[in-house]
Amino acid sequence: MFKLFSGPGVLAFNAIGALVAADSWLMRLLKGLLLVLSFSVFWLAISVPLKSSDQILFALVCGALAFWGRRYKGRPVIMMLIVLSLVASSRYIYWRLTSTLEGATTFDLFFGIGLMMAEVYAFVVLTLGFVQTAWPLQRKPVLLPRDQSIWPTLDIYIPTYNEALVVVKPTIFAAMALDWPADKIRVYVLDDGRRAEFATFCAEVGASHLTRDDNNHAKAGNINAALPRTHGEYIAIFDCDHIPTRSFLQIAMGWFLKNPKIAMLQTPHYFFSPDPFEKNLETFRSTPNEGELFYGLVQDGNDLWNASFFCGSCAVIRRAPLLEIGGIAIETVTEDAHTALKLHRHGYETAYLGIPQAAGLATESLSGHVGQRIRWARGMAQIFRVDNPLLGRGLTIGQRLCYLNAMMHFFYGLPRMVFLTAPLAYLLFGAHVISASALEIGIFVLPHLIHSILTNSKIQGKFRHSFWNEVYESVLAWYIFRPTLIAFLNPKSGKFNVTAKGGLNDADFFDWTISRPFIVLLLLNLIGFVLGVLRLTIWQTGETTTVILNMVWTLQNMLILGAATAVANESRQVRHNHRIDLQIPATLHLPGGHTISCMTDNFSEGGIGLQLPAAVAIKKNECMNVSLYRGKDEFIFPVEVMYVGPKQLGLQFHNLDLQQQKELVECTFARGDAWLKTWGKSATDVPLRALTQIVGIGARGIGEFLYQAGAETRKRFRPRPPAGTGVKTS
Amino acid sequence: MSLRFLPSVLSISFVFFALLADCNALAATQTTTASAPSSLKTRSVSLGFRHLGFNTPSSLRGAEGNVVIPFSIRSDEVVVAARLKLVYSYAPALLPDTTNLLVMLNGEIVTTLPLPKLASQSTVTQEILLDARTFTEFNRLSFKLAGNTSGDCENPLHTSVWASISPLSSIELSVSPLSMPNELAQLPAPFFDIRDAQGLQLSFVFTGHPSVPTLEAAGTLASWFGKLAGYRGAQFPALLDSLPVTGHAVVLATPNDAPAGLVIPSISGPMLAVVTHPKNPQAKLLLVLGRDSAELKRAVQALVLSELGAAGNDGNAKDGNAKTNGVKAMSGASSLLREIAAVAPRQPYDAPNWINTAQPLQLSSLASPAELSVTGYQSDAIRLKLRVPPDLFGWKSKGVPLDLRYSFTPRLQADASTLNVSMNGETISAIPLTSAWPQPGSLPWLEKYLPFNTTQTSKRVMLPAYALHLQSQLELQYNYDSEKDSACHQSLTQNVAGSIDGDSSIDFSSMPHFLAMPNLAVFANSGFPYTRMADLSQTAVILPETMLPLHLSTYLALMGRMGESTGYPATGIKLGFAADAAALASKDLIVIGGEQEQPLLKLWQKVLPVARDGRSQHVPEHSFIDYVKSGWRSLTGKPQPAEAVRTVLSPDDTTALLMGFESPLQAGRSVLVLQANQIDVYQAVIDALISPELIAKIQGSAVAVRHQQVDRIDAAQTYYIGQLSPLTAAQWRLSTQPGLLALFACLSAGFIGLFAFFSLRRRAASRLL
Repeated sequence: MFKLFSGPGVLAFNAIGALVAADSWLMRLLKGLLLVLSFSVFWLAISVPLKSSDQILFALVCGALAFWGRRYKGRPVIMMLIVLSLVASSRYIYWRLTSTLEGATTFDLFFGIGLMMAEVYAFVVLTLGFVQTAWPLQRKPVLLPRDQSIWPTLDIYIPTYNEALVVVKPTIFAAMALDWPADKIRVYVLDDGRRAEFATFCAEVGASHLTRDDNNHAKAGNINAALPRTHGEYIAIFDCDHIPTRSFLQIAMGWFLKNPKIAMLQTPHYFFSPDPFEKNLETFRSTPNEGELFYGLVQDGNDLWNASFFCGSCAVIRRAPLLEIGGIAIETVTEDAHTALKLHRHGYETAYLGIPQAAGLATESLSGHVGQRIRWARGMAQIFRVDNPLLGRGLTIGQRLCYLNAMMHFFYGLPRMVFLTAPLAYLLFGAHVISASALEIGIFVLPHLIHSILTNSKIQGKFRHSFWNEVYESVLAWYIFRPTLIAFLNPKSGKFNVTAKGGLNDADFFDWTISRPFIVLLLLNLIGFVLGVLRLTIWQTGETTTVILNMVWTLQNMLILGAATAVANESRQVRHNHRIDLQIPATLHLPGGHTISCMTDNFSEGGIGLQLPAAVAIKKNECMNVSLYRGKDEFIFPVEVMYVGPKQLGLQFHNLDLQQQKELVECTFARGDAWLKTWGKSATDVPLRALTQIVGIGARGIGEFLYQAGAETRKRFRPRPPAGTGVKTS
Repeated sequence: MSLRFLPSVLSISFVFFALLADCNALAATQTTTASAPSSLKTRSVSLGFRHLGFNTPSSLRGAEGNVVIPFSIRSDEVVVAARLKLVYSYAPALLPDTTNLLVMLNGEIVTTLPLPKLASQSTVTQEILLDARTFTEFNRLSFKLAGNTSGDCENPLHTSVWASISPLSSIELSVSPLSMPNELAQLPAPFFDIRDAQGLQLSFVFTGHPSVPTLEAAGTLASWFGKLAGYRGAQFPALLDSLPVTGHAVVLATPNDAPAGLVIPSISGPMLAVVTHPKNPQAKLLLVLGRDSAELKRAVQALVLSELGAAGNDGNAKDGNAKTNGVKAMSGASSLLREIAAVAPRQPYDAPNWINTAQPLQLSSLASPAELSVTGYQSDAIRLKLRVPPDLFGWKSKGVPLDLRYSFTPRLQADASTLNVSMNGETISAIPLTSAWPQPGSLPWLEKYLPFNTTQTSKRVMLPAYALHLQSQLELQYNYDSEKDSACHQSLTQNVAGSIDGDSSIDFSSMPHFLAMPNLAVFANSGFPYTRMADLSQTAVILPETMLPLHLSTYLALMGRMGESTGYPATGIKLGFAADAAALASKDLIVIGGEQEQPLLKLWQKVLPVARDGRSQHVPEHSFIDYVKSGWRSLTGKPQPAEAVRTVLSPDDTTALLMGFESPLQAGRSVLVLQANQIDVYQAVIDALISPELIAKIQGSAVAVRHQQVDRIDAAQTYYIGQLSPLTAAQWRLSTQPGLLALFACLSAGFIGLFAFFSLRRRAASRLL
């Protein structure tokens, strides 16, 4: 079955399998005894003190096993790597807690306890993360019955508040085009902006335009207000910029009919535009983005524990349970997760289907990204306070742990800042934050770090590359720390802020405002590094290894902060409509009556790129038609040539009417297979390669920062340019 | 135990300090010339300062300092003439007109020595007559410097005001024996006299073939005398059927079984009597009598236990006080002993001399409030003896918490004053003594909330386990910074004081009892493991069938050592011969006798740590198989064999071997073999057991003892005694086995990992149903 298990290994493997499966009391007793024994041995491996050379030997043996094991595929290997990693990390934390606080002065402890708590936090999150992602369920869609008469009725909700119609239009078109018996589906645009333009448009395309008198509780209130006014058995919710594919319901609804206890099914949020990290670091489609870990792994892992939660969009909810829990939760700003928590408390199941069946625009600017994460973090901290998953009835242990990790994860702000400043306590103030020699620290912390990197790389592979977590967290740490703290202390304070999307960067610029925290941290680490050099050379303060250890740490911090700074160097966004790679057959109808059968290259809302079989004499600004296909149906769209390249054409759609716009969406965004090729297809993690990449980005970030700082300084000393042309500065 | 007198510290010495101090002196440095047994004859005694505990020159510094040298005179002797041979030196800068050295005996000024300007830095020797009438039993010879360097304006603490008394000084006494009545009320005097700082030498007289109970009784009595003698050391020469020529003796007799040449009174039950030596009117005999040996044994029990009952003596940590009086209920020349009430059985580790480690111990039980307080700028350290069970297991220990509550004279301003905590001379912690007013820059309101208790009068100090010795001394020293003032100012007011609250406690309870054996060092220092039960009720001594006096002397000397260690008489000691070994299998054994006399040695040849030629029987292992074996040994709880010290003894070397090993009769029990190939060598063993220098050399699992010489020949440790919790035991055994521990980690990863795999797979399948 697995290459790792051969010969006697197979025997042991099968024996344990049989033991786990056995249900007789004797076997249960044996199982219990063996588990107690294993955990005793596990505890010994954590708590037995060894002298330094023995600790090195111990670490080498465990490390060698992990390196050997990771070459094999399969879940059993991952499980064993997880346990090994837990041994190394627990051993480190045990050592830290029991042996590194003695003999410290009050001054040392002031810093030392802070670092200690940050490390304990990281350890808890690491452990909970292992539980959460131990077994992605990888649910497959269930076929709907042939008999359409037993298919349920559905309401499609598209809540909107202030987004432009042009942003919402494709979503409405796609929703109208969902494959479902027409008499069993209705599309509702829940317009909190109460805009006439929306009402007109809805009327034209046949969707319902629902409004309410107030805007209480924002999106949650909006949906709750619509609930009594619609009557479908199920409600599918799409954010106004999440364009569903036609097959969404066909794929999602099967599970509801198979398992009546399922109250909610979530699908991934797929983004066809690069988020600020991908855009500014130029990693779009090559390195998994921040969201991929969550939708690729975490939600799938949650599903095993029946703890996948609702993410506000691209999901279907059964009406009856939703009404039973009082509609969408309104107590917190992350109404979606809280709603799922309430469903779970009522004994309902949720499901996650890892197939991208809707896509949208990613947040474009770093500031927008930060604002969105602040909201999530605040909301999670609020739930932690008002409806703590560890307390209250109705949840299984697995659910509690998954929710706990989902919430605790957002408390990373302070610990991350502690890690980013900890070496300064020594380099700046001479505080010995860990009361142990540099060698001892090294031989305990390295196994902990290496095992957790290896194991996480094995688990997360395609969905999060090594060291990227540090970059993502470092960017947000400062911003997330205050809102979570405030929400934790007083969950009722603060206001709801809508994520701004669709903005346009008219020029490259360096976002001095948003980058201020990481620049401060970067400079502090730089000062620390310089002091370290001085300590080693001019001052000769001794403790060479300690100084070097702390300098290596500041260097790592600087690289990560450099990468964070690089994210703040916003690159210009070229077009309104994002170009999306798409290879489908198309037919070009030349004005002369010739037709050329070709393939599309990419598309956007405004235009399409074609790959021609041979060079053709076509001039810029010529008008012609292009045919796209939806299954066997052909749709013809008038286009204008905007770009002519060798075997390539850039076409802009020309005066499409409503029907054509709808058809265009159906042929592009709403194609069932539109996102399958690109989702979760990033390269698998290779930790050293990821490290090299981060080092490169970090170095580039530091360089960019220095350049921008220089430019800024020069500008300040130059006469002021005429008003209105200035680049945005802080 | 040895206390080095700190030359830099002038102090008021208490009698008991000096007594503690001069254990170095007990190696018979006595220059007594024993005189013939005549009442008219006097003997001369030279009490060198060195032997009174003053090993280094004693400095008199400044006008405040003085040196007190305590000494005592036996109660059965009287001083007829005395002179002081004083060797001293002093600062050349002293003004000859106004400075002199005062010599006082028991508070009376003996003489005032002028200090003329010296041509060069040299010592002065002066003989001073002392008035014999001023001597009492306990005496204090004191020196005080009235010094001046510069006319009227004087800093009394100026460093150039000093004089130094050399340890070469001595008190030369002529003492005459006193005729003493035969009085039981005086017990233990004259057999043991608290005033005598020399080692105790007391003969035990037996009949030709003493019975086992008689010998057991003698052992109990010897341990009682050993306990009384304490640091002085005690030896008990055994005599068969003859009385000693000199000195006092103990005679154990029954009507049928009395040593020749002694008329014993009629016996009507267990009784004690003091009679004068028939041939030496100065010497007394303590007769321990009974109609049979059982009654004899009862007489001894009554003697050694009634004292405990009457005086409530909880050990002789406070050396001088409790033990001067013996059996209070008895008086007259002889006394029939009433039955004594049954004594509660002893518990392990409850020896009165040992610290109770089961629960926190208040310092008030170690020292009186007076001893816990000091005054003055140059006060001596507060010294507390901590005699702990030798098998405390300090591995992984965070140390022994000492919760100090203390008070001190607040300082006028912040200065360097500290309360220093040290253990056996090693500094553990220095607690700053804060000023009465907040220091500039300090934040008292903040300090309240900091993780440490900064209340000024209590502090927890962790005494590291490694600093803990078998006989440790905790030193608490108040160091007051003296205010440096202009040269011409008031002299220092001695108004500073410090005291340690008796409620302060020290807690050993976190340390389990566990020790790798054999360990002759703990035997030599503490009589361990035999003294685990203070009454030695778990111990049996196996003597050769053909007993020679020196075999018995050795046995009695060992019992004396045990009593010294525990502070409790060995009332439970069992005695036997090789044939009784099986019956005594459940006990820790002490086997005395050479190969010829002691058949057990042949029987146990294979298990002895060294052969008679000194070759170690535990050859260290080197092959791969041996490596695996050693891993297995450590897993199964056997210590690793150590590299042997290859001292090969020739068969005709006159040496005694001291060997420890696990009892072949019962696992976990210990055997100590004391074998000599010539009977005289036992005396060397006895001497070694009362000499601190030689005791320190008795280590490992086997030592060879020659005259005034001890060589370690083997150090292999083969078994453990004591108990660890299963977790600690496992942790400890694995702590030297990184490979095995890694294997454990991998095994747990394998099992837990696969267990999780199958469980989660089942769960996943049920989720997708």
